Amino acid sequence: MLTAHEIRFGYFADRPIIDSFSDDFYPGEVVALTGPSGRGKSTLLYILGLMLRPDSGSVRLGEEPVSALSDGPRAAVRAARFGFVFQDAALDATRTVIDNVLEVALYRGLDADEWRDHAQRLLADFGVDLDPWRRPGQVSGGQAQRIALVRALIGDPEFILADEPTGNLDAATSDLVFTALRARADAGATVIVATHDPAFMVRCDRQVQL
Amino acid sequence: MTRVPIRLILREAVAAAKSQRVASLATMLVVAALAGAVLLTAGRVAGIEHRVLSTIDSAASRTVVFRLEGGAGVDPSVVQRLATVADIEWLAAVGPAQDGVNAALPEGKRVPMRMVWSTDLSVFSPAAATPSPVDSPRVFLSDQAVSEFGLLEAAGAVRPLTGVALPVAGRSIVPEYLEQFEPLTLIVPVDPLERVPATSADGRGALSMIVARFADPYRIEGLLPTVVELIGADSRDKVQVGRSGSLAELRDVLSGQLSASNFTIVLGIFSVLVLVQAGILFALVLLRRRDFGRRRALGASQRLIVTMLVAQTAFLAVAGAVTGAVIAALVLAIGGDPLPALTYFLAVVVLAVLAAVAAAVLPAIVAARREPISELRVP
Repeated sequence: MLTAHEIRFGYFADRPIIDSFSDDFYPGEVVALTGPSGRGKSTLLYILGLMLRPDSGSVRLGEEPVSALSDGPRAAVRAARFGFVFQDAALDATRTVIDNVLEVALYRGLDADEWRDHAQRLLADFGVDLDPWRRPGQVSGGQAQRIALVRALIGDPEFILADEPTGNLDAATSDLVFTALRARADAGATVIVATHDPAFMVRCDRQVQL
Repeated sequence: MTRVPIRLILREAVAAAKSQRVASLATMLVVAALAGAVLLTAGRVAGIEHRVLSTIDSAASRTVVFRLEGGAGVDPSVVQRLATVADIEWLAAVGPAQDGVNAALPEGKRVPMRMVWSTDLSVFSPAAATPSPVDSPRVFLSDQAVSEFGLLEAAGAVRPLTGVALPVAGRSIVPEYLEQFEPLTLIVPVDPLERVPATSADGRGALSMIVARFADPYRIEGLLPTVVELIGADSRDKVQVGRSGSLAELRDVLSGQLSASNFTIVLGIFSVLVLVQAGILFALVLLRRRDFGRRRALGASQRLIVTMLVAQTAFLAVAGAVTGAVIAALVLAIGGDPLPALTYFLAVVVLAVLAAVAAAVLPAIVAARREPISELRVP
């Protein structure tokens, strides 16, 4: 279980954009973080994903207050237990599609070759029907987001965090993304999505309004 | 905490370097150009210095002449004693002059003859170092001595006035320190070191000169007192030490000045390398902010980011420095300039890599501190 406890955070000390936020996120559920722009959805997502430290309060995995860890251990937790989907895929344009998918293996201290076959199967499952040696600049936006989704899922993370994962996608690709996240939640993962997409929100197990 | 094996970090560094062709090429070119510049300037000077110093060393600055005044009481066994001094590369002892004549012309011109004992007689004549075919001392003559004895060639026999005829075995060269003994006639005993004859009635010989060549010119001054002690003269006043002081001083001056000049050049060029390389990497970090933000978000620690960037720079710097060194060596060789020692090449390559790595550390730390949220969020 991922627990946010009394989290307060602001880019300026006197203007917190998140104040006293607490919630528990359980395995098997897909949670939508919703609210108007500027309310801190993405910021909260990055705090829950251990990329930002809260000014006060804590993020816990089970009973462990992981947000208080130093950079190295926090990065290790991110690599081993979290998967991330960013708003614009955030692929490395200089590397091949397959290199992008396999990047997380390095941060887990694993040889990427161990995941190569699995990555190619996942890409095929997600309809990325293209030469995996292509570079991200040679694929469409929808395909790029699917590649980013495969990158987030390949290590079977316990927690999947997605920041506006369907923001620039057509309905069919959006559906594919939700279906993939739903399937992982059903397999025991915790999925938290920051989204403005009403169609996406209503399909989630619950919504957290900010 | 996850420890990423160094093998995987290096593989990622190489892959990243290959994928960022422009930045990688710029890094390699800068390192190659500056390593090459060091070798073509300071390296060339080092090559010249090496050649000049070698010339000085091989000429005379390592050679010391000990003149023994009459009655110094030093016999030829001194060769065996001094041969135990590790820093002495070569030595010879020359006996007093005794008149001799052409054996075929008993009334011919008298020419001074001297016994010689040495650790390596080939210095005087290659033939002198070979075993004697006859059980008799052999004689080697300088060109002038051949003429003085009235010989046409260095052949035949000469005879000391107080002894038997000795075969002439060949010509001898005349080293600078023996020029004073011209016309030079050297008598080589049958076994130069083991059958050292006593040449005086009381069993102690009377050498007139000992010549020693030391391995290291810088250690000569410190060793001289020990060597004089080992010579074992009746009185130290009877041992006059002579060396080519001017050459030794010239060697010190050249070595000092050229080294100082080289150091300035190398320091200047490597300072430029650090600045340019740091500039390139800062530009790379700014251009690839999202890349570092993404890596951080996906689980790369700050330490891993720094290590990867430094490893990537080191990989490119090695390739650049080796390329620069090879090109510089070719340019020097084609131009007929002396090449510095291989260790100099290696030192320049290592220094170039270290300078590039040092230049990479600060930009790498800046890259590692990129916050994922500020790089990955789309406004």
